Amino acid sequence: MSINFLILMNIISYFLSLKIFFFIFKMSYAFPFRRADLLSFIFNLILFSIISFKFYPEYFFIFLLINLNLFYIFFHLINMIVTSPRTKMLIDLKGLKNNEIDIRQYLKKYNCTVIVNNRIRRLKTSGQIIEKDNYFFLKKNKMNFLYFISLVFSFIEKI
Amino acid sequence: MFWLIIFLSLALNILYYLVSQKLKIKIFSRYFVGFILYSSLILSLLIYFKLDFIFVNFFSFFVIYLLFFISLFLSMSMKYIKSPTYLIFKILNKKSTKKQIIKKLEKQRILEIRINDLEKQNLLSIKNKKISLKENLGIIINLFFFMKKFLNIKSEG
Repeated sequence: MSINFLILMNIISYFLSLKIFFFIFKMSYAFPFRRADLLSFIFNLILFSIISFKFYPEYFFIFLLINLNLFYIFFHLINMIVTSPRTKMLIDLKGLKNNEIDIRQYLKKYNCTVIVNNRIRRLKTSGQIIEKDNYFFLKKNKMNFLYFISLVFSFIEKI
Repeated sequence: MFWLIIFLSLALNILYYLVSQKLKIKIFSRYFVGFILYSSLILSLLIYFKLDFIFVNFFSFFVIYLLFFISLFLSMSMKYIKSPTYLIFKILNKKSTKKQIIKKLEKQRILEIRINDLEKQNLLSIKNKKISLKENLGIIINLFFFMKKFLNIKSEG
């Protein structure tokens, strides 16, 4: 088994395992990650670590990095499809006849209210925010990942 | 030797990312074309300086180099336009009702900013108050479509 073949197998296996884990776990979260993403990463990391240790022990860190990158890329790509307004607009337009729509008509269907409702539902499900007497606030009595995410955003903005 | 491959692929990608950010390249297609030119230059230098340790493990180097590029490329979109979730987090530093959150997001014109950005990215055009998809980046949109169908996920926005 050549190393190039093994690397290729790792990428294909990651893709197929994502399909299987998404079929089983759908969009359920172990916040901030989806279970399907996390399990694909762990499964492939363990599988290819064992194989690389057996055949190419010196390549262990290469496989570790490949799987870390694949985890980040697929996590981000799927996030873009599910939550990004820009990607949603492109996907919506692609599904329309002539790929075009009147802006006002589109903004009636997809607007700030829809965006806020979707996010509040997701953040409530993952336990990041609490609703009390129609008011929403951040849950501060445990490590809040929203705070961590805001730090990541601030870091990316600076570089 | 493997550490050098990892270090080099990461360092070259970070260097390209930092330089393009200093040059304020926000258009994805320009970033991509620039990367191809940059990579061709790097390849020429590797051949010129006869860095054999890379050519012996060229496939590993190429895969890691490409994966680092995609990772940084995906991070680029977060830099210029703040995600609605991040904005909601900022708003919720003070307790708010749903109406207040919506009002504040409307004030920030989050959808208009995104429509304008997609127009700047040459992905859609606005004419006579109609938005239409351009056909020049069909591969990327088809990739999103394929992933969406393959994993059976819904685009909620």
